[in-house]
Formats: sequence, structure tokens, C-alpha cells
Amino acid sequence: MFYKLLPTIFIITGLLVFTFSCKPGYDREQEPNNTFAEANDLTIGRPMQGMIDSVDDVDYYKIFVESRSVLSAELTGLRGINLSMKFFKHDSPPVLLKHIDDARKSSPEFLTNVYVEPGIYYIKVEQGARDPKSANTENYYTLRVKTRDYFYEEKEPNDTPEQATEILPGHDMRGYFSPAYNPMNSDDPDHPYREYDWFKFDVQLRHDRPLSAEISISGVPNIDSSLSLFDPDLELITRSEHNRTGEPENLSNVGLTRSGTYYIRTEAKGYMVNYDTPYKLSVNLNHHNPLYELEPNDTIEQANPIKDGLIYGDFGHQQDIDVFYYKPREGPGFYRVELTPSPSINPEMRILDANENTVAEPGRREPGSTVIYPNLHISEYVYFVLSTGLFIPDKSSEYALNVERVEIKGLVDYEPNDTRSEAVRLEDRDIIKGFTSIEGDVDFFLLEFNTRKRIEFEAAGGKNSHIKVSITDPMGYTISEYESKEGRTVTFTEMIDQKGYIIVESILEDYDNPYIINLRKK
Amino acid sequence: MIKKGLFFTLLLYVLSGCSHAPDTISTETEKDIRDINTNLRVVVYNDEITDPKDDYRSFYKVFINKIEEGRTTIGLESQKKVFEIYLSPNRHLVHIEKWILDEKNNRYVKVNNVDQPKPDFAYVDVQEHKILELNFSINLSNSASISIDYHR
Repeated sequence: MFYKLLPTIFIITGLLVFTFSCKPGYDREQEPNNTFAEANDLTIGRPMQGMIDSVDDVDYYKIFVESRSVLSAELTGLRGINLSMKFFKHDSPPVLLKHIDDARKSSPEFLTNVYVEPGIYYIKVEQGARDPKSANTENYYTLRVKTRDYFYEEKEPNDTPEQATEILPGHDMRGYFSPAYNPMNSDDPDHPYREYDWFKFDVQLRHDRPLSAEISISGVPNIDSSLSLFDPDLELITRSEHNRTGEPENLSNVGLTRSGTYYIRTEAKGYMVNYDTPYKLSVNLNHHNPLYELEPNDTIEQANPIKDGLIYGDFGHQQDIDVFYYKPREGPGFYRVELTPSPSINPEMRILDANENTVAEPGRREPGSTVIYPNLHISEYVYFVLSTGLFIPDKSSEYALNVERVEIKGLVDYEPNDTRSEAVRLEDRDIIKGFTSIEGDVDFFLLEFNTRKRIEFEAAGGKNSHIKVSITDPMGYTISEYESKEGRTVTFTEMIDQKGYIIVESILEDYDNPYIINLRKK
Repeated sequence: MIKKGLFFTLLLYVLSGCSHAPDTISTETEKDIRDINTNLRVVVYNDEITDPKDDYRSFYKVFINKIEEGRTTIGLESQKKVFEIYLSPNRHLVHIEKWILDEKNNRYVKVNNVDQPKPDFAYVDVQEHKILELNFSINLSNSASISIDYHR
């Protein structure tokens, strides 16, 4: 009989043991836990339930961390209540490390990654400051805390330069655009509550030879980021800001011209957040090659020199402006300028003289097309101001800028000569050579004689051009005009009433071959 | 002694006689004319314009024997506009073509045929050693009175 009942006894005994030994899958807060001293112990990896049972209720939890790691915390939403949490490091008094508050009711809060070392930490669950406080005695919130091993990533909190995480050039580092708001950054005059991640790296220059830095941050879904570099005095050197969601940012050829600690700042704009996908931050340093630009060269004051008539550059971002100056060794004369871009950009070039007056603005062309300015006259030195209209972040935005002397006898097309008042005086010249320098270029030349002269003109455009040559009265009103296509010569005679203008207008440009006008007095 | 005196007197006479040769003036006039490349002067003007609104800046292209040879100076229609040229002595056809300033387009444009002077031509006899002045005096209805003067 006993043996017959034995299986039943085993089953009942087993059920009783299971029933009494089985704890629920979570812990529950034990009030009072309203101060650091009263904090409930929280086991990493085990959910903790709590309740905001009065308007002023706050709940403290104590966490014991045994090894260097990255801690994350998730606090579920509580209907009708704007929950927030603060993360402290044990000290006397405890030090606030992060304040997580998305300023919304009923929504969960996430602390994605905070760097912790062995010791005691606290989490305080409370109500956010934005909404009126209320109680919820029907529902529990759940607080889950996890840790994972730390492996060369940002060390939150790294919200200020003083807290910057050290990054080793050549070794990519991970970080998160999280949290969305940083209530501890309420004093930021430009972007209150913005979450920043700061990094730093040390530079020791040898013989004061500058280094060139390449810094990039990968694109993260739903994040419109920006990337900034600061010098050892925390002065902004340059910034990359594409204003595109999910796109990378990069700073190219940034010059590090002195030893010290440099700082990088990343941020997500518009309080965007991504708890799941980290960004990758890369820093690479190289010795500066004088053939390459050195950022920042965004202004006239920061202009890079072009040493031997050639320099390479790279638009780091859509708004990047690169400024160069060129003082030719050969001295004053005419120079041909060629800006050769990679296929994914359409750069624009503005040329300024030594007085910073605009000499020419060769028009923007198709992506990848070379911008040519065939007859830049340099008296002393010039500036080139480059920008791009098209920019595709993950494609090459490099270019080469080449300046080469032009030796053409009789070249008198001193730009700008686009108006009567800028006309080039020809004096006793009997030959004029010039270029259709830009699309729709107009060149004015002034003829002056003591008496009325009858002149035979023999005009021919460049072999690939189409030009119109006009002769005017002394006031600049056109008397006659003639066209030359594909280099064909057109001959005509005109009276010059002591003074008159020759106007050469470009209908189709030829940047390689000059137009030629011979003048013969009859 | 007498022979010597007679010789110098004769020499003086010959020299002084050469300097008063009758052809000399003519030769110098021709030289002057050639130097200034002119023996035909075309003058065009309108002597009836009194309203500045009608007084356009203008010039006249000049065709000699149906070939364009140049243009007059530029001036208001009421002003004398002159074209000068040197031609071989012969009978020549002189034709003028009126152009006025189109201020909107910053250029001179040929006026329509109906607004060209009538007549717009003249036959002239260019003579040696003379400057021929051909005057086109135009009125408000574009009728031209043509007169010819010779100057030595």
C-alpha cells in the first residue's frame, strides 16, 4: 500500500518544495528608501519593482559593482507620471554622475551606458521637474540594471572637457548618442540640455612640424550629428555638420600646429537619441604634407600657402570653405588656374587679389568637371576661396588646385575688365590677346587717339570658341559688331572718334586658346 | 668784272623766278590734301529740329560707289556730322545711310528705309586740287537738300 502511494508522495513533496523555495523573478522596494542611507540593495541583472505611492515619494537603490564595467539601467514608464532617475557614485556626499529625464509622462527612461569601477553606486527614482507631481498607488515601475565588460569605449559621463574620454589615435572608439536630454547641462547658452560626448588625445610635435588629423564619426540611424575639434585652449578649430540624418561626419586634413591635449566633441542635434546603435569615432594623425591643405583654412587669415603651384584639398563637410594663397616665385604675370575635383563634388572658386577684392568667380560646373581660369594676372599674390555645392558624405570630396604661369605675348586681358570703367587701355598696341575666362565673359578694351582714326580690325576667337566683337563710340554705345566662330577670322573697318571701346563677349568659351585681335591704322 | 656781275644777276633772276612759278601753289595744295587724306567732305545735318526729344544721337554710314567706306562723326541730328575721304578725280556715287542711338539697347541701329533721307545719294565730280564738300541738309520730313561746294 505504502509503495503504491510512494509516487504520489514524491510528487506532492516536490510540489511543496518547489512552491516554498521559488522566489518571484523580481525584487520589490522596501519603504522607507527615501535617502541614500535608506537605499534598498539592488542586484545587478534582477528587476526591482517600486511604487511612487505619494507625491513626494523618491526611491533610492544601492548597487555594488565588483569590476570595471559598463552599466545600463532601464526604468519602465508609470502611467500619468513623468519618471526620471539619477545615477550617483558613492562618496561623501554622493556624486551625481548622470541625470536621465526625457521630460515625458508615462514613458520609460534609459541609461544606456555609464562607466563604473568597483564600488558603490546609487540610483534615485523620482519624478521629473517638468510636470506636476502625482502619485500612482496602483502600478509598479520596474528598474532593471545590467552590466557588461568595458572594452575601449566612451566613459560616460564624458559630458564636459574635464570628463573627456581619452582616445588613442589609430584606434576606433565606440559611443552612444544617448540620453536625449542632459538636465545637468541646463546652463549651455546655445543648446540647453544637449548631451555632449567629449574625447581627448595628446599631441607632441617633433621640431614643431605640424600634424594632420583625420577625424570621423560614423552615421547612426535617426541621428543628425555633428563633430567638433578643439585646441588645447578649448578654442574651436573646426566643425563638421552635414545636417543630414544617419550620415557620417568627418574632419579632414586638420592641422595640429602645437603640442598639447586636443578635444573632440560629438553631439546629436534636436534631442535625437539612439540607445541601440553606437557610433564609431576614428582619429588618425599623420605628418603634414605641404602638398595638402591644413585645416582650418576657412578664412583669409587662415589661408594655406600654395608652395609650388599645386595643392590638394578635401571638403570635409558641406559647409567647408578652403582658402589658399599663392605668391608666384616667377613674379608678376599671367597664370592659368585649374581646379580638378573628384566626381562627386562641383566646387566653386572665388579669386581675390591682395586687397581681397574679387577678381573672378569661375562658375560652378558639372560634378567632376575641372574649373579653369586661363588668364589670372597676379601682381603680388592672390587668394583662392573654394567651396562645393554638391557633397556626398561617404564619397570622395578631394580636389587638386594647380596654378601655372602662362607665357603668351600680347596677352592684355587683365581681369576684371567686364565694364567700361574697368576697360584695359590699349595705348599703342596693335595686337590684343585675351581669353574667354568664364562663362559669358565680357572684356572691355579702350582705344584712345589724338585724332579720328580709321582702324582695320582682324579678329579671331579661340578655335573652340564663339565670340562677338563690338566697337563702340566714345560713350560706349555699340556702333558695329561681328562674330567669330571656331577660330575663323573676321575683318572689318571702323572709325574711332579719338576714343572707343572694343568689347569681346563670349558666347561659347575656349579656356585653352586665346582670341586675337589685330589692329591696323588705315 | 662786268661778266661776273651779269652772271650773278642772271642767277638771282633764275632763282627768284623759280620761287614764283605759277604751279607751285597748286602742287602744295594737292600735297596738303593728300596729307590730310581728304578731297571729299560729306556733311549731314538736320536744320529743322527744334525739339530736343527729336534730336537723336546719330551718324551716317557712307558708301562710295556702293562700297562702305566709313561713317560720319557722331552727333545730334541737328549737328553737322562729317565724313572725309580722298578719292581719285572722277565722278563718284555717294550714298548715305542713317543710324541712330537706341538707348535702351546701348547700340546704334539703322533706321528704317522709310525714315532714311530722300534722296540719300548724290553723284559728285571730284576734281584735281580741290576739296569737294557735299552737304545733305535734311528737314523734319526726311527730305534732303543737297549742295556741293568746291574749296581750293
